[in-house]
Amino acid sequence: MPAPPSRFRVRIDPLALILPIGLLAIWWGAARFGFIHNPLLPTIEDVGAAAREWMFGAGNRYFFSGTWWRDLIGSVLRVFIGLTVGSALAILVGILVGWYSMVERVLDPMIQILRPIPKTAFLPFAILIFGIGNPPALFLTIYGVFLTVYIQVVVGVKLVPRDLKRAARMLGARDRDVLLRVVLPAAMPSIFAGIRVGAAYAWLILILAEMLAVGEGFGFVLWRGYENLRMDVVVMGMLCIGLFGYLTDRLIVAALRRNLSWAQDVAETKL
Amino acid sequence: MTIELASVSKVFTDAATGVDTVALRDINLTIADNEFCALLGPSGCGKTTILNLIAGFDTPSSGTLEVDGARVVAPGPDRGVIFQSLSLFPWLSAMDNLMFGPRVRRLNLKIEREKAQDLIRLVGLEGFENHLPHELSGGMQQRVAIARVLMNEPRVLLADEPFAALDEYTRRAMQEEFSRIWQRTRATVVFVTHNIEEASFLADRIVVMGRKPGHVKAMLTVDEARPRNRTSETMVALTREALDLIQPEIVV
Repeated sequence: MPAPPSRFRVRIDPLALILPIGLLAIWWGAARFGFIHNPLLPTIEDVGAAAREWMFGAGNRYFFSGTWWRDLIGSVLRVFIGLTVGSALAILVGILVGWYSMVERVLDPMIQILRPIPKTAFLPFAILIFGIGNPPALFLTIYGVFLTVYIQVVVGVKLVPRDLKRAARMLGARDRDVLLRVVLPAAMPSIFAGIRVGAAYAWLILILAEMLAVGEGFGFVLWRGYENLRMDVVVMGMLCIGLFGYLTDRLIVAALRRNLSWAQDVAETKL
Repeated sequence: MTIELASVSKVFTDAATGVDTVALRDINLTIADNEFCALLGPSGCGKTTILNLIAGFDTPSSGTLEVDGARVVAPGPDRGVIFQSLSLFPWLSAMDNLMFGPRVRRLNLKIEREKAQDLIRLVGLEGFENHLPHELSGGMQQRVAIARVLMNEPRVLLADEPFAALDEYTRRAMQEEFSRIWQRTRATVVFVTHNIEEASFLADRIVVMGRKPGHVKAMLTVDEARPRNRTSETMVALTREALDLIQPEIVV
């Protein structure tokens, strides 16, 4: 038996630490030795205090006091729903479009027209139609993920080698089995690549939607922080988005490594 | 199964330019039950096209193609194909590649699994059942491709330059193995190759093909008992004869 694919491991390359630690040192030094004159620019201590207030603060001292868990769960759930629902829809529609030319002729031109319109440009209409709260944010995230993943699914389906489909047929497979047992698995590397890019889009779109249309979440706190000129809170918002966006990506890569060990070039590329 | 091509022609039309290319013109060829027939010729002589027509991947532009008296309309498990590209399912283990046919044909998997074990033994892949194709050597992948097709017990075996990508020594070993397996199964074989020695080593009959458009140039019968000696006088004479026929077809 071949060795099982490597599990999710965290190894930190010391070289990777040089820049972040260096930047922190410059930031700290600049504040410590009086180079920061603009009172709006936060020091590391300010950001640390904001983080404590956000995570552990009690009462309603500030708009973000003690709301971190609410914001975290809200944002992560919205990204998760947007990514799973958007990807599932994209896989379903993408496979039909890639497989049946009639479906392609009906659906694809419309999708291609929508694609160049920035996904976030639909936010005003989403708010107008769905109001404020989860619905417009979810709609926009699902829509953005769908368009991103859809393309990769169609490409993946179309690039399945002809001989692989022929092999299936000469072994006795009918349409349904060719599609589910050959085309779908063969397209998985491309679909996974789409989901990975889709996850980045999900965070991007969701944060914007939260800024303008949701009363909680990392995006909401970040924007309210700016409106209140609390740049320490803005920095914390950015850090949280970066951290959880990174973790999302790592999870997808780990799933990809586990399931696509057969696609050597995909599985072995350092991602 | 008998394979019969009567005045078969195949024209490909370029979708973009609308230009027609005649790949095969007026092919008349009857391959007898249990015959091992090699299609030999340079690139572009339409050997693979004939194979694709028999497999049912493509349909003739004119003429009739029948297998056991029935017109070929689609690919099916009665005609097993061994591709040049192998086309193993890379996400399935060797065993699961063998089981693909039984699965999609909704056969009894318990019985088929035993049959797969026997075939794994026959092609010498014991211990590699659970390996993915990319973990196997080229020769081993080739064995999986052969065993996968044999699972369906096809009465016709269609092979498209299956050993072209192997190194010389592995190729010879695989030829011997293929000959041995064929003598056990006695399927009708159509074997496409551009390798003259391979054709004369394996086949009962060599169909020599020419280019522009693809046509049958000559048929050579190989009268030599198996197992064959590659360097016997008959073999060498046959190789020379085939080479003389093909020489004028070669353009560099």
